[in-house]
Amino acid sequence: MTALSRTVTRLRDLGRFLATASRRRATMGETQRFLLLSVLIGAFSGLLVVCFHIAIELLAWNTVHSQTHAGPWRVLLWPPLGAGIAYALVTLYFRPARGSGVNNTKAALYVSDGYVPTRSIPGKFLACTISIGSGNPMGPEDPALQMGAGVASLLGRLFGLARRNMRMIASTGAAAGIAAAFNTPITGVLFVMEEVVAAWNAGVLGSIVLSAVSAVVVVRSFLGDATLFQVPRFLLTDPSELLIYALTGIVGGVLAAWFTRYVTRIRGWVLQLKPVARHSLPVVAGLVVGVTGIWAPEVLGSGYAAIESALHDQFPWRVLAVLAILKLVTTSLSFCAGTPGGMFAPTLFIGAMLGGSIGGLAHLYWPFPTSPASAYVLVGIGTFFAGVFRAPMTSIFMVFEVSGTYAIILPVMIANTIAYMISRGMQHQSLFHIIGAQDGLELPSLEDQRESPVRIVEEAMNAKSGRVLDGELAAEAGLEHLRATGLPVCLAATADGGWLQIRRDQLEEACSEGRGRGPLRGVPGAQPAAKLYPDVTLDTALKRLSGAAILPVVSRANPMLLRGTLTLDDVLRAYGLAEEGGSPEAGGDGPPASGAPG
Amino acid sequence: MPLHYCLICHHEIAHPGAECQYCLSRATTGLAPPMALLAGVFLALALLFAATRSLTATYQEVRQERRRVHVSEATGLSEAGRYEAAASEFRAALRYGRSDFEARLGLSQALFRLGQLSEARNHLIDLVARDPTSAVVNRLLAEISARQGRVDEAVSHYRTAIYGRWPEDPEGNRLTARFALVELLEEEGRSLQVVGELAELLEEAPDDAVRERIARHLLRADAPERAAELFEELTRSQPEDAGVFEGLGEAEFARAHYLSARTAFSRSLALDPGNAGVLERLRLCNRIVDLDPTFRRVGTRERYRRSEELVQRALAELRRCEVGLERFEAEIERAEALDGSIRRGGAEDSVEENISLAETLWVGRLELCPGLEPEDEPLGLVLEKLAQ
Repeated sequence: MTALSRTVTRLRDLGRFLATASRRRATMGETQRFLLLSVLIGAFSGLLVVCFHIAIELLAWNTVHSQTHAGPWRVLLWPPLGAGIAYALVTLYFRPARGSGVNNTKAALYVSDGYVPTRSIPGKFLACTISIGSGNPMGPEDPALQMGAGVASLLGRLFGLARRNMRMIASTGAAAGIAAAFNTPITGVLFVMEEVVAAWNAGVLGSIVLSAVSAVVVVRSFLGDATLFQVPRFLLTDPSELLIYALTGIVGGVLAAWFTRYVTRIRGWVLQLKPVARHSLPVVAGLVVGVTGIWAPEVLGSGYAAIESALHDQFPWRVLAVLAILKLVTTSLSFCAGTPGGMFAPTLFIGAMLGGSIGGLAHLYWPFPTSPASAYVLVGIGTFFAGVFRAPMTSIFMVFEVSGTYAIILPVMIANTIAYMISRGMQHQSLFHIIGAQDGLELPSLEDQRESPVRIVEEAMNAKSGRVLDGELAAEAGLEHLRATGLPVCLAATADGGWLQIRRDQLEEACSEGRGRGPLRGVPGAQPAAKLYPDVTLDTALKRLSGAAILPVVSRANPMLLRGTLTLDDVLRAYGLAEEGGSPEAGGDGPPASGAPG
Repeated sequence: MPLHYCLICHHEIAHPGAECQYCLSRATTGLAPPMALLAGVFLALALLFAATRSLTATYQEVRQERRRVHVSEATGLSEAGRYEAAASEFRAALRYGRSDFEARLGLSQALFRLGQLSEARNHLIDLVARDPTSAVVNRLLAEISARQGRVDEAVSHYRTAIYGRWPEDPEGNRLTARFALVELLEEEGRSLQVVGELAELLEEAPDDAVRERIARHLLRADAPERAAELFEELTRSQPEDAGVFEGLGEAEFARAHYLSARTAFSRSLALDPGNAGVLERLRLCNRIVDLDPTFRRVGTRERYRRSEELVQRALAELRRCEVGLERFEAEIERAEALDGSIRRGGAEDSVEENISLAETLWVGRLELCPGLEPEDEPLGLVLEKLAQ
C-alpha cells in the first residue's frame, strides 16, 4: 500500500514537472537550436531515406524485378502503371511534391523564407517510390533532397527559428537528404553549396556538414557502410590514356549540353499542351520505358546495378553505347512527361555507359596500352553529371565517394572539368535554371556568380597621389593645395605609418585660429583613415568608405608605400555609374602637391 | 477564369506574383519551442527509428532469402556445367547481396569457364581486396593472369595461393597450386625459378608419386643431375616401377651418361616389355654407345675405327648442304683421304685428329644449313658430348 502511494506521488510529481516544463520556454539560444536542429534534421532525413530506399527496392522486387512472376508483360505494364499512379498522386493530392527537388529547395531558400510544404515529404516519398519502384528510369536522390529540405523546414518552424536561419535550414535538410541517398557526406555538402545555396557561404557550412554527417551515420547504421559501387582496382596504364579520358570529358560535355537544350525545349513544349494530353504523357512515357525494358532491363529504375556490372566489364562497348542512348531517350521522355523522380541517377548511368563505350573502343583500337573499359565507366560517371548540373566539384568528389577509390583522381579531374567547361560553353544556363524559369522561378546559381567576377579595389583606385600630402607639411600649405586643386579633402601620411583624413574646412579653421604653420597631422578634428589594400573587394571597400570621404590604398608588405586612393566616386566609376574623370569636389585629381609622399 | 497557384505550396493565389496567404500563415514565430514540443520531436524520432529498424529487418530477411535461392540455383547449374545460366543466377544473387563472397566467387568461376576473363578478374579483384589470403581466389586470379599474359602477377597470385587459406584439403590444393606455378614457369622458360620452386616442393613432398613428378619437372627444367639423383632414390623405393627407370634413363641420357641411361632403359623395358618408346630410346643409346670412341673399355683399333666412322658420318651430313661446301674443301679432302689405316704418330693422336676433324665438319654442317634437320641423331649427340 505504501509502495503504491509512493508510486502515485512520484507520477504526480513527474506530471507536474512536465506541465511546468511545457509551459516554460526553452532557454536554448538561436545558434544552439540551429546546431541541435542540424543533427536532428540529419537523423530524420537519414531514417526517411532508409525507408525510401527500402520501399523502392521492395516494390521493384515485386514488379519489374519479380523473382516469381518475371516476364515481358510485367516489364511492359508496370512502368506506365507506376508512372500514372505517381503522377496522379502529385497532381491530385501532393501538389507541392511536383517538380525538381533542387529547385523547390532553392525556392524555399530564396523566395519563401525557408518554407517547404510538409506535404511534399509524403508526396515525394509515395510518388517516387511508386514511380522508381515500378521501373521508371529516374533516380531517388532528388526526391531525397527535397524530403530532407521538407523535414528541415518543418523542424525549423516547430523550433521557431528566426527568419535568417529559417532560410538556411532548407539547405541543411537538402544536404542531409542527398548525402543519405548517395551515402556520401562530402558530395551532399558540396552539391548543396554549389547548386542549392549557390554560394560558398561559410555561415551555413557548419550546419550543412553536421546534418550531412548525421544523416550518413544513420544510413550506414541501417544499410551498412559499403560504397554505392564496388569498384575493382584501377590504375593509369599509360600516360597516353589521359587523351582518351579527355575525349570522354569532351563527349560527355557535348552530350550534356545537347541533353539540357533538348530536354528543356521538349519540356517547354509539353507545358504548352492541353491538360488531357499533358496528363496522359507519363503513361505514354512509361509504356516506352516498358517496351525498352523488355530488351534492355538495365535501363529500368535507377540503374545502379547496371553501372556496377559495367564497372566489372560485363558489357562490350557496343552494348554500353546502346544502353547510354536508351537511358538518354527514356529518361528524357519520363522527365519531360512529369513522371516523379530525380535526374541524378540517370545522369550517372548515361555518363558511365558513355565512358565505358569510349574506353572499350580505345581498348580495341588505341595504339598504346589502355585500362579496361570498366576504368572508363568509373571516370565517365561524373562527366555527364558535371555537364548537366554544372557542379564540377561535386562531380569529382562524388566519383571518389561512390566508388571509394582515389586511384584515378587525375583522369576523373580531367574528364569532369572538360565536360563542365564544354557544356558551359555550349549551353549557357544549367538544367535547373531553365526548368526554374519555365516554372516561373528566377533562381540564382553559382553559374551566374562565376560569370560575374568579383571587382577589387585595384580596378577602381586612383593611382595618382595628388590627394595625399605629407603629415609634416604646414597646414596653410595644405589648405593652399586644396584650394588650388579644388579638392574638399586630403590624406596626410604620419611618420608612424598611419593616415589622417583632413577636410578643407578643418584646415581653414586651423589657419584662422593661427595654427597655419603647424603640421597637418596636428590639425584639430583630423580623422585617422582606415587603410585599404589593392586586392580587397569593392564590397568591403564600400563598407569602410561609410564615414570617410577618401581612403589610402597601400601595399600589404609596406603600409607606408602608397598604391593609390579610393573615394566613393572612384567606386561608382568602376561600376560605370559615374562619369569618367569626375568633379574635383568628388575627389578628382589636381596637380600633385609638393611634399606629397611617394 | 484561370486558377493561379503559389509556386511554393501550390495553394491558390489571387493572381501571379500575389502574396500567398497560406505561406504567410506558416511563417515562423521566431520563438523558442516549448519543452513538450522538444520531447515530442524526440519521441517522433524514436518512433521513426523503431519503424525503420523493423522495416530494415524485413528487408534484410527478404534479401537474404532471395539471395540464398539464387545462389543455390546457380551452384546447381554450375555443377551441371551450365555456366551461362549459372553466371546469370549468380548475378541475380549479387543484386540481393552485393557483398556475398560465395556468389561473387561462383560468378567468377562460371565466367572463367566461359572465357570471360576480364569480367571474372574484376570480380576476383574485389574479392581479393576483401580477403587477401583466400587461396581459392588467388589461384583463380593466377590462372586468369597467366592466360592474359600477366606472368609476374600470376606468379604472385600463385604464391599467395600456396601460402593462403584453403577452405578444404589445404595440403592437396597447395600441392596442385605449386605444380600449376611450376608449369607456368616452365612455359615461360624460367628454369631457375622452376628449380627453386621444385626444391621447396621437394621438402614438402608427401609421397613417391609427388617426388617422381618433381623429378620429371626437374628434368624438363634442365636440371638432369638433380632429377637423376631423385630417380635413383625412387628406384630404391620402387624397384618394380618401369616408369621410374624410364625417368632415370632420361635423366642420365640428358646428362650424356649414355651407358647409365642404357642400363636404366633396359631395366625399364624388362619391367614393361611392351613400351615402344623406351625400346626406341634404348636403341638410340646403343647406337650412341657403339659410335662413341671415348668409352674406356674400347680397344685402340676399335677406337680408331669409331673415330673414322664419326668423320665419315659427319662428312655425309655436311654433304647434305647444297651450298658453301667449298669453304670446307680442305677438311673434306682430309676426310676422303682416310682409309682405315692408322697414321704415323700413334693411334691416340690419330683418334684425336679424327675427332677434331669430325667436329669441324659437324660445326660446318650446322653453319651451312642450320634449317636442315640432322638425319644422324647419334652422331650429333656423340659430338655434342665430345665437345663438352
